[in-house]
Parts: sequence; structure tokens; C-alpha cells
Amino acid sequence: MSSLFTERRKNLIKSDLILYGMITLALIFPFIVLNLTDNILLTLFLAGMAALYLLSLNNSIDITFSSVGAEKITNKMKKNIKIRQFLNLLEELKIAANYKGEITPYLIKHDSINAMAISRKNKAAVAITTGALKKLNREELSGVVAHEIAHIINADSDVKLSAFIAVGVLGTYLEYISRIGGNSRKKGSNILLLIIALIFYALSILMFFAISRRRETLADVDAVRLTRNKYALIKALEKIAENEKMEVPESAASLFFANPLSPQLSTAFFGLFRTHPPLKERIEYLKRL
Amino acid sequence: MVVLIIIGIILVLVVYGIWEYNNLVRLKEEAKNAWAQIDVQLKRRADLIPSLVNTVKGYVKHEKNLLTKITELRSKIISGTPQERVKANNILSDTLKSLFAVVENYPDLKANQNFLALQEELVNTENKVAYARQAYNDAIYSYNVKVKYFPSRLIASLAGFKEMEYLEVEESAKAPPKIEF
Repeated sequence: MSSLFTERRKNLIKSDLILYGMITLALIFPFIVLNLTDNILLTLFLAGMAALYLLSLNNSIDITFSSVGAEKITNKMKKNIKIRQFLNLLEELKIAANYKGEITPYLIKHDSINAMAISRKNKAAVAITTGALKKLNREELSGVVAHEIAHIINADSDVKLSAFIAVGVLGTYLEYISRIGGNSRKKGSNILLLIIALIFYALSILMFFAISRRRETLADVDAVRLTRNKYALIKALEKIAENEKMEVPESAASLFFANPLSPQLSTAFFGLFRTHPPLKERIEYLKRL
Repeated sequence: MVVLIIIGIILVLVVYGIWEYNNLVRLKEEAKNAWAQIDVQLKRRADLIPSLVNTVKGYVKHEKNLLTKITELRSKIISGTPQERVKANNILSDTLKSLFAVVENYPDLKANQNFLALQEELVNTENKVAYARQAYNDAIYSYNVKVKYFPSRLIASLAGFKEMEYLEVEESAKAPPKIEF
């Protein structure tokens, strides 16, 4: 069990460091602009851009969930025994995690095995696919639900959203810099700016995916901590290997239990752009805990 | 000057005393909340068992002993000290496991929706008790540390806080039950 807590801290610290790095990139860029061009207006514009993006943090759970076709579980649906089981597991693991907030349950009608969770302050929601309810037994389902509860207690959707916003800020900088490129007196410094913006943007994208993968591993570790049963999660992951592709917006992909867009993508280069560690790696990692 | 220093020290001591007293009250409250959670679940289990026995009775003719034992344990989980009730609940959980294992030989019962729903709810209450017991013991641990060790010990004995008993975890109950559906 001690390795569980060391692994937990390791993942937490690494993903936090990357996130702070990204936010630093987004914040120092306007000052680089000021140094290279003396353009105060441009600097203010870029800083305003960053502020606007940060404000968009307050988007709602409903929008994200409806974008992936999730619907709220109604009282009528609760008669179904598997849905009942899902709701029971949510309550059980809430106690295990000592989470006091409300969790609204959602259902996604899709045959693949998947789940997702979003939390904002003390409001949270967890969605499960009908495929997961059909194909997973109680034990396996408990592993998946524990993984989602772990995302909630770790505030992972906030972490991922902050990272996503940092990418958006740097992307907007890049676009702006590339547009003003031609019509300035200091052409040399503008090209330098463009290169810096490009590097920052590329870095932030890689960092976003790195954070997403770290947070997935962290949630796997925490799921074992909550259930005290690593085989629950391992068996569920093994069944997921047979998943088919699920159509969801790319921005929502990192919020899922397993990547819904590319269930079996696995080459070294694409590895850098993965939202989740490969299933095989996740299973091996859990077995070592 | 000396008077001021003495007043200062007394003030610090009083503030510390209030702070430590509040800590003790809070920890005791936490343990109480965890116990309330367990209590609710034990009562819910007790409510579920008569329906379970009624549903199973018709199918499982040769397991009268098992059913009698379950009915007896039912009354034990709703009365007595927390320790006694949780202990009875552990035995009940094991007995239920034997019953569910026996049911595997009765395909009609295994397909009975009513039975499946009851089984799900019983497993649910069992897991909730297991997880809440962890929270209870954690709270008791922090509370007992305060009651036992100096300097918080002084405040605890002055205010009459006594050490509290843990809920023993039996070997078989350490991991949540795994029941395949």
C-alpha cells in the first residue's frame, strides 16, 4: 500500500509542475512581445486575451455532457438493475472517497465501454455508457466508477480545462502574431516573435497531452486506493481493449475513462499526442502496484 | 510588566484550550457522523432481509439452516453496541455469501429479478458499511491521539473526553465483497 501513496504523489507533483509550466508560458509571452517590439498596445491586447480565456473556465457541466450525447438518468430508468448498480456504486465510492458534494449521474447510449466525469467546485457529474453497464460485472464496474470518483476528488476536469485554456491562449497569440507579421517596421523581430510563438504553442500542446496522461494514471492509482482491489480496474481495462470507436468532440476526448476516438492507436510518435496512456501500459502499471 | 506577561501567557493558554477543545468536539462529531452512516446501512440491511428470505424460501428447500441463521443475525445487527452490531454484520455478510453461492445451483432463482435487486441492495449496504467503518476508524484514531497525548491530553481530561473504541475489521471483511453477476 505504501507504493500506492508514493505513486500517487509522484503523479500529482509531475502533472502540477507541467501545468504551472504551461501557465507560465502563456503569461510570459506578452512580456517577450514587449521586449522585442516595445508595442504596449499589442502587449495589453495579448494579456487581455489571456484574461478572457481564464474567465471562460466557468463553462457548465451540461454543455460538455450534451456535446457527447449524455442524458441525465431519470427516476424511471432507475428500475433497471444495472443502472441501480451504477448508482449504488457511486454512493459507495463517495463514502470511500469521503466526497461530500452532489454527483449527478448520466447515461451515454453507446455500445463501447466508457465513462467520464466532470467536477466544478462542489458540483460533479459522472456519465457511463450503456455498453459498460452491459459488459462489465459489478466488480469491474466498481473499478471504472472509482476511477471517475478519483477524477472528481482530484479536480481533474479543472486541471485539464486550465491546460486546454493555456493551449488556446498560446494558439491565439500565434494566430495574431502571424497576421501582423508583414506590416510592421521591425520585420526581424516579428519573425523571431513568430518562431517563439510557434515553439510555445507546440510545447503547450505536448504538455497538455502529458498532463492528461499523468492525470489518468493518477486516477487509476486512486481507484485502487478507494476499492483496495486493483483487479477490478485491470479486468475492466482488459475488456475495454475490445472497444469500438465512439464519435465525440475532440475537446471532450481527454475527459473519458478510455480514449473514445482512437481505442487502439499505438505508435511512438502518436504516443506524444495521446490523451491516455495505452491500455497495455495502464494494465502493466496497475499490476506493479 | 510582569503582570502583562502573565496575562499574556494566560490569554495564550485560554486560546489554545478553546482551540483544542473545538478540535476534540469536531473529531468526535466526525466519528459520530461515520457511525450514523453505518447505523443507517445496518437498518437498511435489516429491512431487506425479510424480503430476501421470502423470495428465496420457495426455491431453496434444503437450506433452512442458512435462512434461520440469517434471520437470527438480522436482529443482532440492529441492537447492541456498535462493536457488537458490526461484528454481527460481518457474520451476516459471510452467511449471505454462502447463500448467494448456493443460489448458483438454482437457475430459476438466479434469473428472478426481485432476487437480483435484493442481492444488489445487500451488497451495496455491505460495501457502504465497509467504507464507512474505515472513515469511523480514521476519525477515532485522530480523536484518540488527541485524548492520549500531551498537551491536548490536559484539555481532554479537563473537559471529560474519553478514549473511544475502534470497530474491528475482520479478515474476511477487509476487502469489499466480490460478487459476480
